[in-house]
Amino acid sequence: MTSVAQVLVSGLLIGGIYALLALGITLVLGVMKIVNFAQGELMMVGMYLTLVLNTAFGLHPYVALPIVALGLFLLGVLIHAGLIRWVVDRGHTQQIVMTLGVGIILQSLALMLFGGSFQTVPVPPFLGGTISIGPIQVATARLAAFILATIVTVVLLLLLNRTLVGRAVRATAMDTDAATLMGIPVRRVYLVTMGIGAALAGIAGVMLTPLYPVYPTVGVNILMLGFVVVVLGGLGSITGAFVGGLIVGVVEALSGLWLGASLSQIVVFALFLLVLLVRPQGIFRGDVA
Amino acid sequence: MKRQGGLNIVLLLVSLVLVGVFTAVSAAAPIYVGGMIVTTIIYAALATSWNVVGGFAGQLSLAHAGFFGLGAFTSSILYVKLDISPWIGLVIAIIAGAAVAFLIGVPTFRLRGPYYALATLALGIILYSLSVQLNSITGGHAGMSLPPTPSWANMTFLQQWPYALIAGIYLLICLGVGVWIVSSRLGYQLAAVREDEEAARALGVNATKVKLIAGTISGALAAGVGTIYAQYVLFITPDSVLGTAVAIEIIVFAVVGGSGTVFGPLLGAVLLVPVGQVILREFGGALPGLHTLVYGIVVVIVVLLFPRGIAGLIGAAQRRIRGRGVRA
Repeated sequence: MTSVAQVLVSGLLIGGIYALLALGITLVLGVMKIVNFAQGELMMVGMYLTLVLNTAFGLHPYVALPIVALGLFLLGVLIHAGLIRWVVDRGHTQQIVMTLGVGIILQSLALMLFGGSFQTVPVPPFLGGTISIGPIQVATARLAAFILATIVTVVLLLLLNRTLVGRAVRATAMDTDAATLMGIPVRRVYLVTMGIGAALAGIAGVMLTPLYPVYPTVGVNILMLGFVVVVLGGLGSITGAFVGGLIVGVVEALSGLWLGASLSQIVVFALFLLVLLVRPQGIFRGDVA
Repeated sequence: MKRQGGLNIVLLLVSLVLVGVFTAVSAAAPIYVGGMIVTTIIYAALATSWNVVGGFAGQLSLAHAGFFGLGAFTSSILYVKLDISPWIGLVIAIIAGAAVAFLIGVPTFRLRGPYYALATLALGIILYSLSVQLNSITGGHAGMSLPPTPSWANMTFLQQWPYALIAGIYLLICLGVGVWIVSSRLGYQLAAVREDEEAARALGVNATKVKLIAGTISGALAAGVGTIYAQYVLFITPDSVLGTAVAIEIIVFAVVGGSGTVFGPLLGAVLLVPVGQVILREFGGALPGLHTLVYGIVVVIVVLLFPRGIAGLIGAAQRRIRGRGVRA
């Protein structure tokens, strides 16, 4: 029983990272109606950036967090201004191919710069530790990821619901033409949205780095989990992305415990197909869609 | 539209002649050139098969490496473990590809939006991890080797030309299917769904059904290419046939050539595969990733500037020459 509770908790906590990744996907999808297939690669860039800041300047990953987030925000803005903005009005296929192209470019550059080998951040002392809550051991790095994901979700919700910028973003998501007529600078909203989406991928990368090795294709598998979360939570739903992330984390962890780690991916996939069959609109209605 | 159909028949005949020519060239040329010809034909067939669902139906599939690898592993396992001829394996692979493509289409094609793309990404990853985990029959990461006993019955040869011939005929079949689809009722229905699904449904097109037919044909054709590839290289691994990199390359070739046109994907493969092979040969050791970087940059530029691909560019130039304007 203890082991079930143990696995449950660690799955719930790792779900925080899936939530972070999914938040970025769902925000961009909700506002711009673009499925960003480069989100996994943006997270990969965040991981490498964390690694470089750590090995070159000895920065602790969590100290590097604001730098990585800012760096990824700028990268997202750059990618949007140069490439994505030209396909905003086109069909899904063209948009996806564009983001796939961006993904291949980032992945190839990572391979050329860092090689294909697995690299890890030497784990700083207090990150490798665990905290005991009753009989349950909680890895601090997972706990940190979970707490940060919660904070980010709350901040994002407040930003969207309580600020003028947030209202502009939601209006753009609802009806671009009407928003334009109301004087909302839709293009700037898109730019900021892509930037925030990329920054969220960067934050997910930072939190994942102490837990997982970095390699050029690390984003691919995790991107799939991110999509499962987004579909489960409801396309464009911030709350859904958070809750969905936790659900996928728990499902993955429990199926890993009962069926073996190798089958957990297939269980997650089955969950995905089940959601598509039974409730394709997801659990929550979109906050931004 | 009639004229377009005639043009496609002419292009199909030209392809037939070219397959003959390249088969002859691959018999006479150095092994490196022959290999490049066979590889190009295989990727062309794969991109052409992707185009049925990705181009004609406008439903982006990221699972075509999955169907390709499924075909490769199906026939190889049957051949190695049960001594079943790859020719029969080819048929079974095609059936397996059709079945899996059908099953992934059922829950996703009823929905509008990007669900098919998301589900096919997941399917590709699942097939990859299955092939790694079932290592007692697939060999896991190390992959499986096929017996190098040359004969027509074994679809195994020492020279390059029989492979060029077999892959070439298969490519012609894929192109033939494409020509048939675009000139049939199904092709018009798919075009309608691709351009505006809601309007197509309102006009009585069973969008779910036509997408499902396109998806199933597409997956079946891709799986067949997998068998031919496996027989050609005689060594397959999860990474070489099921990797996400393969899935993306297929899309790059089709989109750069011009998805939605019958011959665009072939054009894309003919232009890009040799370039990639040369880069891989010259720089693969020192700069791994350079050839995919080139693919990435090319596809981004094409999507930005020539959304209809190179075939679309040629079509526009043609119309301009005929003096009909480019408004169409």
